[in-house]
Amino acid sequence: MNERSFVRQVAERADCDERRAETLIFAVFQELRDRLTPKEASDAAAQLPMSLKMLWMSFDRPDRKVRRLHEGQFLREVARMAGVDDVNEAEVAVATVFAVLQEALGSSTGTEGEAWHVMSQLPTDLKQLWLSAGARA
Amino acid sequence: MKPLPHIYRVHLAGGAGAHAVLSDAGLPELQTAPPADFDGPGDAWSPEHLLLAAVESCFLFTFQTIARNSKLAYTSLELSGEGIVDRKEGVTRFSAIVLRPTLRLTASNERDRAMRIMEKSEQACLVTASLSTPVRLEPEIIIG
Repeated sequence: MNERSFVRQVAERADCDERRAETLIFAVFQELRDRLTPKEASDAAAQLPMSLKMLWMSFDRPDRKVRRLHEGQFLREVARMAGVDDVNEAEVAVATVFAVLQEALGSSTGTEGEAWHVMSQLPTDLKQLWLSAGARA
Repeated sequence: MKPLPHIYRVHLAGGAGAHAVLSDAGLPELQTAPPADFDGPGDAWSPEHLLLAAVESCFLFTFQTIARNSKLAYTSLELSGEGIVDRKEGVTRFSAIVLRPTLRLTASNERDRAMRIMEKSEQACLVTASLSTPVRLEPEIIIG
């Protein structure tokens, strides 16, 4: 899956235009990546095609600390970054990007391969969102 | 972006006088000298000014990229910066850097998002990340 088809899929599933989808993807990628250790973020990047890898890794720092956000704060940060009006809307956006990301990582349920490693670093409430995103897709 | 690592080079030519010239292929030459506070002539970009300029310009370019990725519309971004050089534990160094970006937006409902993007720009700036000096952000947003 290349970046364009990733954007198209998010746009279709979130029922928005591709420009809006790009904003949502960037916000979710930034917050999810910062929720992972730099090593795990790098391992996940290795499974993505080059254009998505660049987007995923943009502005990452190898010496950064994990931003230990739980679901509520995670959704608020995505909402803030993407300019989403409320947390419910942010949850739909996050679930959509999670689902397409899982597919890009070669996992249909979010529990196979690299997707499992990503999930294993998330707190319980975000794990649930990750799993429900896979089930919803 | 080209794959990392990136390598940057600067040539410095100076003599016994206070002034020296920074250069690199394809770039305009830049005269540098110690600042007046260190008994320099005070008429050229000092290393202290250049460090602050690097932090400010890195913040600006990082902000531009994050704003572009986030589709944030803004009219202008100006920065003033302040670096404090002091002696701490026997070492003279920058003890603090304050960045004061002034961002002009057209839409008032983008204020919070713009603030988040400025915070992220400060965290993501590679020059700031390379320094041990704490950098404090004092942003201002103007609507209209």
